Amino acid sequence: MSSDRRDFLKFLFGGTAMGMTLSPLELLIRGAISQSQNEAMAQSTLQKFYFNLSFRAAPDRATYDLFLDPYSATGNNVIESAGFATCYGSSNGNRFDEAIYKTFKVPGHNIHAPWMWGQKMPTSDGFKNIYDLMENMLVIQGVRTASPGHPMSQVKSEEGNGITMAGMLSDYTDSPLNTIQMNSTYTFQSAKGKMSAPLADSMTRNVINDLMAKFNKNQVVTFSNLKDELSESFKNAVDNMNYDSGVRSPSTLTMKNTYDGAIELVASSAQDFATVWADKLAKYKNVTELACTDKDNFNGFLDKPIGKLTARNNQYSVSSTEQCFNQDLRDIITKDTCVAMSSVFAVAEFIANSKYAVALNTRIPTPMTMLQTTESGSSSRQTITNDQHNTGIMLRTLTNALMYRSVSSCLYEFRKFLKTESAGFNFDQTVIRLNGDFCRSPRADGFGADHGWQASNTVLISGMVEAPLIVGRIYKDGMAHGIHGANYKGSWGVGAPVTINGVTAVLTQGNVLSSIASMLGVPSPANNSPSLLRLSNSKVQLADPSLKLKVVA
Amino acid sequence: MINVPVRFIKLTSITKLRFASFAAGLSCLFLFQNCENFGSFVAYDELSSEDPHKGSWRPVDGLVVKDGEWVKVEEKIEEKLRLTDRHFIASKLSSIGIHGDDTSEDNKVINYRINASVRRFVDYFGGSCIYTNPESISISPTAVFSCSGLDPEDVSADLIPSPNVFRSVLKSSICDYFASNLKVQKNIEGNLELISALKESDHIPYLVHQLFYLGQEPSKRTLASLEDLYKKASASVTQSTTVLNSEGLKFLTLAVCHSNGWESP
Repeated sequence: MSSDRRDFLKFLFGGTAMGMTLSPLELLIRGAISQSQNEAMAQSTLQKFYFNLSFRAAPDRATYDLFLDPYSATGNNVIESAGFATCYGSSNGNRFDEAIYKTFKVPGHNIHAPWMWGQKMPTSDGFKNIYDLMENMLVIQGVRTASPGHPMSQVKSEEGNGITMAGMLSDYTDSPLNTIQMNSTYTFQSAKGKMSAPLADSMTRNVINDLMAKFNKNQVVTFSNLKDELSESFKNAVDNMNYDSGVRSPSTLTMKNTYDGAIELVASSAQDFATVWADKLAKYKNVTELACTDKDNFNGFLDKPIGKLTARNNQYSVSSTEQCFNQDLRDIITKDTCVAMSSVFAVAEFIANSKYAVALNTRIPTPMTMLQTTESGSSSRQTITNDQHNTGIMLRTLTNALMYRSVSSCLYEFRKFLKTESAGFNFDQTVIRLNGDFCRSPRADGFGADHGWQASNTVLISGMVEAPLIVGRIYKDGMAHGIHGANYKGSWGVGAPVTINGVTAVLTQGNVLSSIASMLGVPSPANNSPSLLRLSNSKVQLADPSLKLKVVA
Repeated sequence: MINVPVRFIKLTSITKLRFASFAAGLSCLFLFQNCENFGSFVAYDELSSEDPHKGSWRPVDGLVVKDGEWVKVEEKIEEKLRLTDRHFIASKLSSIGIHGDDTSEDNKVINYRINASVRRFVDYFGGSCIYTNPESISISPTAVFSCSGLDPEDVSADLIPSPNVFRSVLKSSICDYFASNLKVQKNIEGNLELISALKESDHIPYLVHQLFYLGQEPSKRTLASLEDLYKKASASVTQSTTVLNSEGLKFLTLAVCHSNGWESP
């Protein structure tokens, strides 16, 4: 005798009693695998989330997270260069007509930071000090990358010994999607052959829907008429067949866990992702749009018209052949520059909440501008590349600062979310990484900035970090050590040797990976490079206090 | 074997490792059948209180800092699964769900569905796909999947992948389709006759099992549970004279298809 399958299964497996609306397929499979599922859940796995946010192609980090002399009394033990700036200055009072190096002393922490940290960021709680983020920030500087080029520097920022950081974390957890590769050119490599889930970024589509589409239960559950009395028999039959296979080949039974994860995702696909996505996206859009448009709380960048009215030089270059002629550079920025990163953070929040993955690799979109490239012409839409070889210091300073201001607003909101009770992964379980291919070596004439592979830096934000920590060694003048020719003179973070446990060498990306692995509680993919830190009572401590950043001659 | 701690290899012979792996795997199976990762176990060596970084930047396999102390992280030693690839799965499903003239419209539709759910997902099911290869598969009357249309990066997938949720959900989908589609069920009936001749048996649960697990005999316990399922499903509808009960067949198909082992012969 037939009866409604859904109702029966709900009754049989207690779906209604559990307060859940479970799909027939989910109930079916839950029944079939309930034993192994429960046992799997009883086993402990690492509960950590790694959000790797990349500035691909390596934009200039000078305005934001490149700290040249944070711990000295003056914060100014540097050699300045016309190509290196942290904000704008004014020689006549009414307009910003130069890009300058200027630092800000962070209250309460005795740290000198790039000028921007003294400004404010828009948040859902109103305008907040950007330096609020420092409370949970660790910066590793003076890191030499694997190669002068982008590709290998990118690869080695994530991978050591053939295993990537996200892959390593995925190996130690049972999240169904392991790692989300969002709009990412990252490699993913797991020791256990696990797979990552690709996801394309979009501001016009519901990206969560895209992610979950394969698990849409309407596409999966099509069979009908499962009878009341059949469920237990079905479960027994599947169990026994899997047991037979397990005896023959024990490894085949690991497939049960994967199946379990798939069913969990199918059940989850019943959520109203339209509302979830709209809410999350709106939150980040609101603050990022304001980050690009608010001129009242960003002194040194937006409080005066930017640019000389005449005699523009290489400092205003857009490309090797074009200059920017906008009378006020503030007009070139479209809000897209800031808003475009909203979807990235919305997805991060969804993943951190659902715990469907333990790692999210993604990247920040590049700035969009309206540029006037001839003296009498009109403005046209152009992307400012992150690979800023020919981007003059006047243009570079503003576009990058606004991008970083938006990132700061998003980081504030994301941190706030992680601190809520509803977050799946909390702030203490999360490591947010701001990462680029490398820093940039500014040309002394201010024309552009080339690959600074002798200096890379990484920002780590986590509840495991309790106070701002800037670590590493940098040369005051890389040119004096033969790092570069005269066109790159000045201080810009070139890595100098550091001594760890009696061994002296310039930091590498392996040291960064090992440090992140220490926070995430997994073996380092680069296990021949020591970590710069260790956890004590789940809080970060430097492996050696002398690792705090120093500028050496 | 993968992910074996370096020190473990140094301290322990390969023979011992294999024996330990075998014994642990069997213990898991026979005693409890409850390992999260079957065939896995924890391999420890002597933990040292010495800071592993002291003196040199030497390898620190499996060591992490917990509460200020260096501790060994559980190392799981697993066999790489012997999963079959998209070609095997699709061919197997075709041999089960298609009967008679391959070019009939009904069979074409079934084949489209198999291709759309399995054969075109190179990343999830594995199986070589050379993007310059003219491989061209119809996934609907109007749409074609071709390796040459893929991004070269997509083609760098493992030949034989590990289990993944995408593969699982796609397999679920095609199993549901096989159990619910009347034309597929009719074809399965036809194919059962072929198996019946081959295996010289008219025991339906056994024959359905053989459709998916040809050459692998089910245990008595499995056979009994399939028989139980078949009887209960058959009893739920009135179907008098035929030897093969269509409702029973539907649920046998569903159960055997949902089981894992036929993907890893």
